[in-house]
Amino acid sequence: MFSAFFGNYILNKGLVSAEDLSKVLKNQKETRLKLGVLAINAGFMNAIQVQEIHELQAKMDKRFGELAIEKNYLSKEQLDLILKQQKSEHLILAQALIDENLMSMSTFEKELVEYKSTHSLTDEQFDALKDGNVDIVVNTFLSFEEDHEMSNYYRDYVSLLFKNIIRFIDSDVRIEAAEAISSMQSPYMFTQKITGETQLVTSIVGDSETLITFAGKYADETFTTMDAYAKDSIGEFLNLHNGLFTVNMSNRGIELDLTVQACQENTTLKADKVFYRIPFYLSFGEFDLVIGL
Amino acid sequence: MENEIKILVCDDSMTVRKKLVQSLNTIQPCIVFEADNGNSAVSEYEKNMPDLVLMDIMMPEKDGIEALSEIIEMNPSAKVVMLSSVGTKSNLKKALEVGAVDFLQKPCEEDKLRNLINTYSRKE
Repeated sequence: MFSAFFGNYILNKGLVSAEDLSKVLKNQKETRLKLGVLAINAGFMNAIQVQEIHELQAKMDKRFGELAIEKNYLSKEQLDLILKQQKSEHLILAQALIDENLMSMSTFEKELVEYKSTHSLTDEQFDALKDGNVDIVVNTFLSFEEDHEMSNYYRDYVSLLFKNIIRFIDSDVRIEAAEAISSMQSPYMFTQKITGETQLVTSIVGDSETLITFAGKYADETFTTMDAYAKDSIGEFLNLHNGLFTVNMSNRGIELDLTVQACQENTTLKADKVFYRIPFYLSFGEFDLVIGL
Repeated sequence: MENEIKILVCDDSMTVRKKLVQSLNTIQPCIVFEADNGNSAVSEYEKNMPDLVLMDIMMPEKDGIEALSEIIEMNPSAKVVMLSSVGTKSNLKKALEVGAVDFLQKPCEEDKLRNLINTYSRKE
């Protein structure tokens, strides 16, 4: 998750090209986290100190941690902590960027600070992003109108969708801020209504190329056109997600039901009430979640 | 072949049916029949008399609860497990009252499916 958010940030700043970023994202699985990057991220060492240790390692057969302790850059407790973090995923993108010579450690360090500042993230929010805490991330990046009575309901819904996208479709996912809309045109719109004590209209909206890939990932098939099976796959994903949402609500004592899903092509959504469009960016394209009362 | 259990999978979504058939074949060899609506579920049951039925609740033409009711009328000891995305207590209660032996929340996890098959598909 961190890779998707931070990767997009450095792409928009022109620090990497789309092609390089795509390559780095693909290489991430084979990337091994280096202790220097972890020490910078934890705030235990700065880039100059890490570079110094790397230069010492080139001259003598000693481990990074051993040298860092000798130089009093790390305590034993700090080393133990970053050794534990070595298997965590949130810095793999940074390590992959460094391995590909696309970003130096000092630039990485600077960009992390700027990213946090640009998005006005608290330490807790930034840690949540790095640790993949979806609920806090969704709260951070998603702002509905402050006084909107349905805000919490929408946030729960989007958090669950975010988790289900990671679980069933694509782990490289990020969202951007919700946009209030009253109309929208789209090549494909898959809609399902949640009925009961609280009513909600939910739609997955997007172009055919992205949604065909989306359908293929959910059904574990290769689709080339938006045929009946591909449409069924997207409709079933929406149904599954909404079903899990109704289970969560049922556990809170709110009984809800679902209508049959519908797929509309080349359609224009027009609503009397405000709908929200939340863009979801995946590794293979973008779709929108549209929700409203 | 005679020892293979017969399972009827009823769901209007071909994505769900395909995923279920794949999982069932991974769990143990079985003969699977498919139905994509409640009417078809009842006629497939009558024709094949499966050991176990996995029945979606929300289906076109005739929903899963109606189909369950007709199957129980045909065979009171039929083993029908209801499937649903909507796991609300009211759905569960209604299905059990009509005669379902169990209820499985989608997505159908393989371990839960295996337990259900072990529990309900024994030849009597």
